This record gives sequence, structure tokens and C-alpha cells, in this order.
Amino acid sequence: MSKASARQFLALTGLAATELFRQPASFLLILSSNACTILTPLALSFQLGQETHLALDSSLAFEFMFGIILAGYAACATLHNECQSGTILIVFSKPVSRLMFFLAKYLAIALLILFFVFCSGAASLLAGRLSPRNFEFDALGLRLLLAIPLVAIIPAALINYFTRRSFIVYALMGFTLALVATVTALGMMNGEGHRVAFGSLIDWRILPACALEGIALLILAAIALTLASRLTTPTTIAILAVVLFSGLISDHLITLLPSSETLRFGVRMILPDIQAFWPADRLAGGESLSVSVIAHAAAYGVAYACGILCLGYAAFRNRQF
Amino acid sequence: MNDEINTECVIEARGLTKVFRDFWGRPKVLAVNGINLDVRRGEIFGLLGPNGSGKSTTIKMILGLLHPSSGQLSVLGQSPRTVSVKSRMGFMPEESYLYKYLTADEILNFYANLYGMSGPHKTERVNTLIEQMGLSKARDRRVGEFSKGMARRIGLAQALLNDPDLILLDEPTSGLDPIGCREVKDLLLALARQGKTILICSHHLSDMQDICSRVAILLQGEVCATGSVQELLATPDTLKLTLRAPSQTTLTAVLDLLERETGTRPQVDHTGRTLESVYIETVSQRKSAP
Amino acid sequence: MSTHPGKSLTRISALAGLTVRDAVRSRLLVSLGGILIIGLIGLPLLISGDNTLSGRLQVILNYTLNFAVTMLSIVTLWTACGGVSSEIQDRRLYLVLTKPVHRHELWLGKWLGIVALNALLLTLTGFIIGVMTWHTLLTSPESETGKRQAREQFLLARQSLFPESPVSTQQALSSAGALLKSGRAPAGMDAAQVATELMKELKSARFVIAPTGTIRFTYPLLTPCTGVNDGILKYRIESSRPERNPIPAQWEIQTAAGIALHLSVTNYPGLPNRLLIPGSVMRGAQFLTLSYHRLDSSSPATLFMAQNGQEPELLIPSGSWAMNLGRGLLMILCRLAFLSALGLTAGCLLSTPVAVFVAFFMMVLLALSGYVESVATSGVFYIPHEGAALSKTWLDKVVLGQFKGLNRLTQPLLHLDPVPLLEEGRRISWLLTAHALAWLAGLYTAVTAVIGIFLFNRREMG
Repeated sequence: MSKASARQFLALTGLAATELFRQPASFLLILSSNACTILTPLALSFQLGQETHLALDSSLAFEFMFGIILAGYAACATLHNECQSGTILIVFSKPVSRLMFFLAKYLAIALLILFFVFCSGAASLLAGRLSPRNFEFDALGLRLLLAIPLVAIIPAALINYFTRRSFIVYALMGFTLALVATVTALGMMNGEGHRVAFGSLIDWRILPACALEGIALLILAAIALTLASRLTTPTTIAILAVVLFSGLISDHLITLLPSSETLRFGVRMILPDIQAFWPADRLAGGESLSVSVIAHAAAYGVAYACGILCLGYAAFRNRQF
Repeated sequence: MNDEINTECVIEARGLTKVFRDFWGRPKVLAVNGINLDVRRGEIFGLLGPNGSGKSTTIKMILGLLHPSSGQLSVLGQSPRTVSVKSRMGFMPEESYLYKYLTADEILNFYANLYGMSGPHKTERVNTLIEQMGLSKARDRRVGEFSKGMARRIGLAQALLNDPDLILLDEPTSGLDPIGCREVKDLLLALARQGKTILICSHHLSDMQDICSRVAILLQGEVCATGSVQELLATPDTLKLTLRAPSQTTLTAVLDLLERETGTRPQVDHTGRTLESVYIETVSQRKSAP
Repeated sequence: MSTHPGKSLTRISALAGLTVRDAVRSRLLVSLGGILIIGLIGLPLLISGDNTLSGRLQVILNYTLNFAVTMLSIVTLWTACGGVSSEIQDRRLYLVLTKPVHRHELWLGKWLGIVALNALLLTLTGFIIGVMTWHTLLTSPESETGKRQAREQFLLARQSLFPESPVSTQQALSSAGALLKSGRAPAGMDAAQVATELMKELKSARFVIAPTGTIRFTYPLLTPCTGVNDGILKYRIESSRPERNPIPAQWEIQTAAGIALHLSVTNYPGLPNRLLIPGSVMRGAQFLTLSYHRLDSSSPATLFMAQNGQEPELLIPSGSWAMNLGRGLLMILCRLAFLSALGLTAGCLLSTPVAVFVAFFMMVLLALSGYVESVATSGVFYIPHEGAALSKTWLDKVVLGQFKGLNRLTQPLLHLDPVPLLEEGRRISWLLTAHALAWLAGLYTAVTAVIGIFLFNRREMG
């Protein structure tokens, strides 16, 4: 790739990513996902010692649920809306290849997903830390949590008021910083506010689990981008939900098929094996995710995403506007 | 142009101001700043100005889509926010914001229903306008498949559905070919002769010059010039004579005389036709040729 | 412009027709119909349950209805939010607003269009569920008896009856008053609280069955039974000791005409039980007395008989399943009508994605109305360690206050979900349906509409 092409690619990615991070919907989805994750421990009491496990399971479920909505929305906001509004014509009137354009869009969506996964990871750590232990609920932690939205929103509002800069971008940054600060603070103290060894009360296994789910979301983002060249946002998200659900029960679906090895192999190739990215069962058994498990899943994810992106590009390449 | 212009004001604006505010309620953009405007019945009034001068904002306030920050505005003797006044108005926007899944026929029928039209009167009016706009062959095609020019024609047709007393047009000739432009201009002149009042926003100054009786030029939200086209265009200390070409001797004698009287030698040019008339003539001849 | 109501109706119906036509031609309706069909047919094929006929019928009624309701709720919110906001964004609304159309006519037209689309899709849902249910029943390899039992269990609308209480609320109140006067009531309790505790104690005492003891329940049959279908008594036995030994007993079923039937049963403590009461026994009866006589003498001293803390519930056939499904779908339509109003109102103020988000947030709040009620009534939203002081700071009070306020808003909407009733084959009464129409499609929609139209009137189209 020449310097000029690299500059083009970065320009396209940067523009698409800026557009996505400035969308109010992106901020609201990330905020909601993390709010659901963090507030789940409130609903967990008297679960016979399973509170932490349930809180972490819920956080993984929320990450998937909000993640597919975010992926579908982001793909349509960048690609579909650009096709509809006609701004894509201006881009293609410049010496920009469709492949570069398509990949730049994917990279922008991937950046948003990675940011979402980072925030989800922090929120999951908090959820695990705050889940009731021995029937005791961490009221101090709850009060600290309620300050997070204020810490995120008030500075962003002040920046917007005095400098007229984008509220959404600064609110996102503020929210992320506040999350990380809260994890750090609560990692250093217990429910009574006494100092403890950092991280001793936090279940760190959730971080690789979130990362694993993030890889699945990147696969789903590739599918979303492929669909977004033709379909609207609700349809794209609906199909992503069907793909996610089918991927989670792919083993069961394959047993329902006629016993033809070729057919079963074909379906296994087409349906993404989302089960490999659902770590809740492993975490429930007390295991942690080893590097090899994640590497294996990442290799599968990269290969699958590349395949889907090839299909998507093949559909996009000859699209007329 | 319509010489029998009534003095009755159809649109009257006094100190009209519009300030767009940000989320905190602070002024962000002063789009229209204290303009005074009178549009009289039966005239074709042009609103000119560079981009961002406040033309669209003024039109939207007249249509009741925006609320003035201060000042007074009256349209057909009522506040523009009154719903009933819209039954006597027609609006053609700059872009054709149409429902792309409907056919031309369905769109006009839909808007006719919104005007409260029904029965044979509605059908007749829709058919007449489709014929008039030259869309008979495309009446059952979806608007999403129309070219820009065809979409503009539908846009104009829906503005005329209710036989309005006041018609507002934003770039009416944009996207139309020269013959289409000529037809629209002729239509607008005919409507003005019927006593309709027309307010046009356009950047096509030659079109405005052709049809407008009065214009206002906006700049940065203020009216910087207003008056009849003739008054604005006239240069009082020069004259233009049109005559059959005399002999060279006579011409030289006349020019010498005028030079002695005025101090400058007049310029002599042969009059010609406009590019528009050549185009129309050529296309018409080709169309009528066997 | 004519303000004649007829012209107004013409405009509203034109706008509603435009909404429907847009959905049809943009293939939204076809896509939704396709997804519904795939989901409604595909889910029961994927999830076979316990592979019995009853299990498969339960899957059809449980999963498909929930799938349809969830999907339609989400799509309705999305479509409604975009109905106004996307047209403002595209500026298509400018051409409509420059016509002599009141903004409330525009809002109502859009709302009616979305409700009409939902009615179409719900009709399709009902049709598919009906066809799948009967097809499953007809093609099942189960015996005729098994099919009849499954039909009795799931494909009838059953009215729920509870036995007459030996002590009425009035009697409890007067006893409570007497206790308070004599100073024998616990300190700090008023008459209503004492009466509630009295009722609880009396109910508990009523349900104790000693060895070889008998317990009797009388059920008034307000509507006479035709005798074609059986009744079902749902009950459960709990032991005073952690034992699981089977308890032999005999049921005696009695009507005004005398003792109609004796049925011997063996029940295990802690498990739900069902007693089938033949329709022929109930035919024309005005009341039914069911006596449970323990046959054993050596088992635990006391047994409690209750289903989920309530008295045993008698389910009698009351109407056809098809009509019941129709009423349930009508209640779902009322909910979707309210969601449409919510989405349109959000769309009147906000851009499409933000409006969708806000509307979804409101929908989730409504779905959590049970949790909201429990927090509002208990006064805590987290359970502190037993024995620890329940400290309430100003923040706790603020949050609890919000929960209480939200509870007041959502209280009327509790118990208006027909899906659990349809899953269990319970009758959805016309009263409940009217309740849904009045509250959901009526009051709540009207209030939302007023707010939406107010916001829409103030909105500028710049």
C-alpha cells in the first residue's frame, strides 16, 4: 500500500469512526449496556452464593445483546445511510477504490465495537465486585456508581456550553474515565471502605471472557456491514439476532438436519459457531479462559470475518447507485 | 408582467427576526434580522440573495414551519401558523420531498385529500394537473423512479392542486430543461394574470428578471434592496434605441451629433436573439419535423 | 379550510392509508410477515420440549406468543419513532405541514396506520398459532385419550375459581376492631393490618389436615357448566416435615344433588397435582363441594394444602379457545397501540435513534412494573444483611420516591399481560379485555397522544 493509499484509507476510517462516535445512539447504547450490567447486582440477593456468577453471566448476555444492536446500527449508519443520501457518489467520484472504502467502514465499526467491549469489560468487573457476598450488599459501591453518569455528563455539558464542542464525544470519554476510576477505587477497598490488596475482591476472569465475546461481535459486525449495503437498520439487526441465536444453538440445529455429512459440513461452515465465544459455562465451572482458547477463537473469528467481508465486498463491488 | 397589481398586501412582514438558538438557549445564528416585506396581490415577487442570506428561513416563517423570534408577520390577513390559511396557499420546495413509494397519481390524490377535496372535482383536478405537467405517461410510475425534472413537475403540481391564492416556490426551475423552464415561467405569468400572488426564491437571475414584477435582495438576513425590476435595473442617465439599420453616412452623422451633445461617442451593436430562444426554436423544429 | 369533522376524518384516513401503503410498498410488512411466519413455525420445530403432545402444545403457546409479542413490540416502537422523526429529517413532512392539516390530525393518522398494521400482523399470528396447534393435535401419534387430555389442558378457556372463604373480610375487620378495643391486638397496628393478619392465620389454620382428617372446599359455579369438558383442580400438599413419602387420600365430589364421585389419589408433598373433575358431574351444578380425606394415620402430624400460597384453584371450562385467543390478541393490540403512541410522541421531539432509545427505555420500565411494585411496597431496593440497620440517606429516599411515583403510573398496567393466561389455558374475561382497552388503548394512549401533539405543535421544522 502506497503512502497516498494509506492516507486515503486513514482519512476514510477516521471520518467514519468520528461519525459513529458522535452518534447519540452509540453513546446511549454503550451507556445502557453498562448501566444494565452494573445495576444487575441490585436484583441479586439470596442466590445461594451464586450472586457473582449470575452477575457475570448477565454482563456477558448484555454485552451480546447490546453489541449486536450497536453493530447493526453502526453498519447502517455508515454504509446504508451514505448510499441512501447520495454522499457515497461524491466519495466514488474521487480516486477511491471500493475495496478500500468497504474496509475502512469495517475498521471504523470495529473501533467502535472494541471501545464498547472495553467499557463492557470495566462494567463487568464492577458488577462482579458489587454483587452481594454473604447476603451483604455493597452500599458504598452503589453510591459511587450513581456518581458515574454525573461525572460523565456534567463536564461534557460544561465543555459544550463554553466551547460548543460535541457533547457526545466528551460524555463518552468522561464515562469511560469514570468507569475506569471506579473500578480502580473499588478494587482497592471493601464494602466497609477499608483498604484491601488491589483486585483481591474482583473476578478478573471476566476480562478475557468479554474479549472473547468481542471477537464474536466483530464477526457479527462483518455480517452487519455485508447486509447494510442493501438493508435498513431494523432488518439488519433482526437478521443479526437470528444469526446470533442460530450460532448459539448451531449444534442442536445440525442434529435436526438429515444425516448427510456434506450438508452438515456446509451448514457448519456457513453458521458462525457463536458457542465457541460464549464463555459463561466455562466461568460457571470455575475455569478461566486460557490464552490458547482465546487464540483459537480469535483465529476462527478472523478467518470467518474475512470470509464474510469477501462476500460483502463481492456484493458491494458491482452495486450501482 | 401583470400590470394590474392590487395594493392589497398578501404577505406583510414588519421587523421580522429569526434567531436560531443552541441547546442552552443562547443565540447561535441570526438568520433574519428585522426585515420589512410587502407582497401585494397579483404580483410575482422575487426573493434574491446569496446562500445563507435568510431566504429559506423567511419562506419557512411564511409557511408557519418556523416561528419568528420577534416582529410581525401576516399571510392572507392571518397568522401563518393558522391551519386554515394553508388551504389558500401552495408550496413547492427546493427539493422534491416526496413519498417515493407512491405513484404520481397517488401522491396528488393524497395531497388532494389533505386539502379536503373529494369526488369528481378531485379526480378532474388531478388529471388536469398531470396533463399540464406532461406526466400522463408516467402517472402510474413510482416517484422514486422519476428523474429530477419529473419530480420537480410533481412538486409544482401538488402546489397548484387547491388553486391557491398564494403560491410559494423555492427554485421552481431548478432541474428543468430550457423548454420546461419556459413552460413554468409561462404558467406562472398566466397564474399572476388570474390574480394569484406568487413568491419565488431563485438563483436563476435571468428567470427572475423575466417574470418578477418586484424583487427584494437579502443579504445576511437583511433586505438591502427592494423595488420593481424595472426600477432596479434602470440606469437613468443612459438610453437604448432600437431601430432599423440606416445607411453608413446617416449613421455616422447621427453618432457625431450625439457625441457633440453628450460628450461620449455611443456604442453601436447589432441586436441578436437569446440562447434560450435559439434552443427552443431548434428543439421545436426538430420535434415537429417528420 | 373546512373544519368539518368529515373533512378532518378524510385527512386522518388519508394519512393512515399513506402509512399503511408506505409499509406495504417498502416491503416492511412483507419482511415482518416473513419473519413472523419463520419464527412462529420455526421455533416449535426447534424446541420440542419433552416430546409429548402436551409439551409441544405448551411450546407452541409459550414460545410463539412471546416471540410474536416481543418482535411486534420492538418493530412497533421503531416504526412509530421513525414515523414522524424520519419524515422530519427527510423533510417529507414539510409538504404535508404546508397543507391545511392540523398537527393532531397528522399524529392521529400515523397512529391509526401503525395500529392497522399491527392488527393485520396479529391476525396473521393468531391464524398461524391456530393452524399449528390444531395440526400438532391432529398429527400427534398420541392416543385419543392423550389427545383429549391435552386438548382439555391447553385448548380450552378455563375460568379460575377459588373456594368460599369461611371468614369474610368484613367479619375479620369487626373481629380486629374487637381485639383492638380489648387491648389484645399487637401494638402499633391499625384495624386493617390486624384484620389482614387475622385472615392469614385463619387461612393457615383452615389448611391444616391432621392424619385421617378431612378438609372441605366449596366452589360457587356462577355460570352453569355444559358438562362437555372436565374441570381441573390444581392443588399442592406440603408437609410439616421434610419428607417425601406418598400420602394416600380420597376426594369426594359433591353437588346439590348429593355425592357424585369418589376418587382415590396418592400425592407427594411439594409437587403440583391436578384432579380431573368429569364434566358430567358439574353439569348444571350451582356449587361444587370437594372434600379431601386423608387415609393415612402415621404420616406427619400436619399437612398444608395450598397452591403457591393460595387456596386450591378450580379451573372450569368457560368458553372456546379461539375466542379466548382472540381476546388475548385484542389485549396485545391495545398494548401495541400504546407503544405506537409512545414511539410517535418520542419521535415528535427527538431524532429517530434517540427516540427509539427513549421509547425502549419506557417500554422496559413498564415491563419491570412488577419489580417496581415490590420495591415501592417493601421500601428497599437492595436487601441489607440481616440484623444490619437499614440506613436511608437522602439518596435512598430520592430513589425510593421515584420508584413509588413510577409504581403509581404502572399499577393499572399490571396484570394486563394475556400471554401467561393463554399459556395456561385460563379464560381472558371480557372485563379484563375491556380493562385493557380502557387503560392501555384508552387513557394511557390518550395522555401520551396529548403530550405528543403538544410537543409536535411546538416543534419547528427548520
